[in-house]
This record gives sequence, C-alpha cells and structure tokens, in this order.
Amino acid sequence: MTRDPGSSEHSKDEILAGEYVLGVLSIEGRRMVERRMASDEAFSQIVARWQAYMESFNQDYDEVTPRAAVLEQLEQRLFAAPLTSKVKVSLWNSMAFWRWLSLGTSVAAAAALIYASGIASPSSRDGKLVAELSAPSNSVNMLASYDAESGRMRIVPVAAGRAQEKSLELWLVPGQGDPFSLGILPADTGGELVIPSDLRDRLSGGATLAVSLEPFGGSPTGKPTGAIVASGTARSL
Amino acid sequence: MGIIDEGRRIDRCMAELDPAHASAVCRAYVEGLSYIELADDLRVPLNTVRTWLRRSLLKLKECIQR
Repeated sequence: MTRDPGSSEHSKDEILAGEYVLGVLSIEGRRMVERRMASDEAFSQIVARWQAYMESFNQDYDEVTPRAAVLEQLEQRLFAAPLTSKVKVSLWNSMAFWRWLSLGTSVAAAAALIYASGIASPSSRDGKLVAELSAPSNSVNMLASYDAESGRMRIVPVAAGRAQEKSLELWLVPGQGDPFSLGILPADTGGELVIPSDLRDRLSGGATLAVSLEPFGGSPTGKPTGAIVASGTARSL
Repeated sequence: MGIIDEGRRIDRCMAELDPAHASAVCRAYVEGLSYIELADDLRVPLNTVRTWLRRSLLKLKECIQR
C-alpha cells in the first residue's frame, strides 16, 4: 500500500473520522474514536464535519416518529435499566479507596506519552493535555488528563498496552459465590462508574472490591477471567 | 458556519466518484453495512472495499473543500 493516499497524519484522521461516521469500524475501532473525540477537540470537529456532510444522505428518506414504547424497549435491551436513574458514585474520588487500591504502579518511573496529534494541534492550544504514565512489566497504567484552564488534573487507571487490547473490570466480591461485575473502568470519564441499580445495596462498608485485567470490553463470561490486579475492602469514612 | 451547506455539496462530490465506490459509501451509511458485509455483498475482497471507501473519503474531502 505504498500509494495509499492516507499517508499523512491529517489524511488518516480524515479517513478514520469518515469511517466512524459511515459506521464501518469495528466496535473496538468505534470505542477508540470516541475516546479520541473526548480528548481531542480538533479531531472531534473533523467527525462533526463528516456527520454534516453525510446527513444529506438521510434526505432521501422520510422521517417517521416511532411509537414511544420503542425507546423504552431499546433502552431495556441496551442498558437493562432506565437511563434516568444515573447516580454518581464518588468511590473513585475517595482517598480511602485509593489508599487500599495499591496498584503498585511506580509513577516516578513513568514515561509520558502525549496522545492525539501532537503539540501543534489546536487541542493543545485549548490547554488540554493527556498523558499515559507507565512502567515496564506493569499491567496497569495511569491516564492523566490535564485542563490548563481550570488547573485540574485527573488520573485514572487503565489497562497497559494499546487501547483496544485490554480492559480493567471492577468486581464486587461477595462472601460466598461468584463476583458481580460493577463495570469497566472507563478512561475517558474521569474514572467515574455508574453502578448498576440492582447492585447498589450491596455496596457498603465491608464490601470487597477487586479489579481484574480482562479482554477489551470486559470479561466474555461475566466472571473474572484475568489476573486480579488489585483488591481490597471498602470501609465507611 | 456553512457546515449545513456542506451536506448538500457532498451530492455533487459523490457524482465525481466511481459509481460503484459511491454506491458502497452510500450503502455503508444508509444501510449500516460494515466492511465485511459490503465485501460479501459486492463479492470483492475485504481489503479492496476498505481501499475503495478510504480513497472515496479522501476524494470527497478534497472535492468538498474545493
């Protein structure tokens, strides 16, 4: 593919954004693009432009309002719980949580990798930076994002390796029986997880939490399949 | 700022593409076909479809910005 027209970085971004809007990417590819959009303003504008270009394809079709029940059924199928019940769990922001979650990651030895399209991109002019902090032979890295305007830096754990390879999954481990998945640790929402409503009652002082390394997107079996990278017991503050 | 108008400009630019390639672009979007489904349907190798679409995207981009 030596004559590939997408040899420059910008062309690659254009193609990737176009492929995203066309909907031809794999689920891993889509997730990657969405993460990039969250941290790279210039790139997300490219995506927005492609969306505007391709909207005219929709004009060949009439708009029909679906029955109200359709949305509800869709949400049931996709999320199994109504979207309106989003409750923020401040666990990830709790110092106690971080103290027991000893990831053993040596941030001092970290190598920083500036994501996105480099120093000259408009995103860095906005004062937003992203760095992945890692050390050799670690299964967990730290993703640091910095907003120069507010001076806020957020650091969240992510699976080491390329973005589409592994995920970190949080589990609630009962005294007896199988662990329940509480979700995939997201790299792009400041480390915030929405706990499934049916599991919230079980999250209280004394609950054991664990983080395991899973294939990208989470355990395929619904039970932990990879190495436990950290575990500990929650206590009330 | 013109971003809506650009949607209409794409029709003219689609007409400049090879008709088979334009059809693949449009079906990917409208029918939600993936690369693999397009390749099966058009009976061409996956890499060929991918190359068609990627080249088409760049040509569309160039045309729209002219």
